[in-house]
Amino acid sequence: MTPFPQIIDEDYQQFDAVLKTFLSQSEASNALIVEKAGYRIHEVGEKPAFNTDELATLAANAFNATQFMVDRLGETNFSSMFQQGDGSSVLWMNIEENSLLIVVFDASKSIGAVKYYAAEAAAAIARQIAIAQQRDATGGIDLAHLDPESADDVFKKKDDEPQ
Amino acid sequence: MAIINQANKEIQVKIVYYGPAQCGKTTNLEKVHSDVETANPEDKGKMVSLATSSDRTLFFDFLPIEAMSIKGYKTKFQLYTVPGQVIYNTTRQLVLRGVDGIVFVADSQYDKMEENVESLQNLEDNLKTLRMDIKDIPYVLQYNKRDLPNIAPTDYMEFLLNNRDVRVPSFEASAFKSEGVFETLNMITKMLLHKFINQGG
Repeated sequence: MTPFPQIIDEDYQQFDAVLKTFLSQSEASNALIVEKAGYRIHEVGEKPAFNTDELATLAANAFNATQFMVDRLGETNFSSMFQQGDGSSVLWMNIEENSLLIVVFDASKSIGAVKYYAAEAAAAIARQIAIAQQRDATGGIDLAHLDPESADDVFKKKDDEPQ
Repeated sequence: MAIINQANKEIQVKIVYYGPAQCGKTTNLEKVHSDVETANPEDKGKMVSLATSSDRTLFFDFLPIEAMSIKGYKTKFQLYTVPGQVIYNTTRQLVLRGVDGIVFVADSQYDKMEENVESLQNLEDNLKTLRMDIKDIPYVLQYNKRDLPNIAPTDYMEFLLNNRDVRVPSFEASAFKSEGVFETLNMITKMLLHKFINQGG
């Protein structure tokens, strides 16, 4: 499995432009790019009433679980899934091996139109991810100057006495 | 694997707490959530638990938490637990996807040793299924429930669970009392940072 590449400004701008175009076409309220391990990569849309880190994690794991299930059924094509809500609906669309497009939209909107534009957006994002992968397949930043010994107590307990 | 977003100046890292049923994985996350000191309240996300009505983990627990800045990059840790019950093996495989570091929580009670060994073997098997090798992934051992009376000596647990060519760090803990929880988490964090430095990310 090729890892998800590191994202630079050029990718970010492209993701942003694609998602904004998608939202204006589909009239969806929020769109997120999510790495399948549960990381939120980028989001565009209205100020959400929900925590997008939580949404990203839950959405990725829900998609992965369904993927496992359909694999067991011998299905080889699993590209999207959909939750019809009363107020808000959610569409999951596969982008590529490592990532998903998550779309939240008003339940009164047509899933057909949202899905149609989401497929175009997913394809455009996949192209940019492929470019990022070719740029630097291994990813990584230069952390050579970081002293890991200084990271002894990254997480401090509230009642710990200062050293 | 860890996500590096140069545009947003973020590094995102996934740590999974693994171990047999009711060994204290969820308690570890609960204590991190309740006791961690953060500069800003928003650095600590809400803990999400997908549990049964009897509070047994059904899918996973999830705690997003932001730590120090590394060379201007915000470091976001995603802490997960897996369900320990044997029947939920597929779920454990799902949660392990993209894992960067593992905390193996062992139950120190004598009568849980077999379950500890089976769970560690299960971890290795599940990583292989995901084409990963435990030798390549930083992990630490936590010998939990040291406050209980019928516990095995740590030497014995080391022999059972940490008997490899390269031994990993291990910690005694009583997660219920928040003892050993932060030592364990800080060690796996440090090991991950070492790995990123050695590999350049």
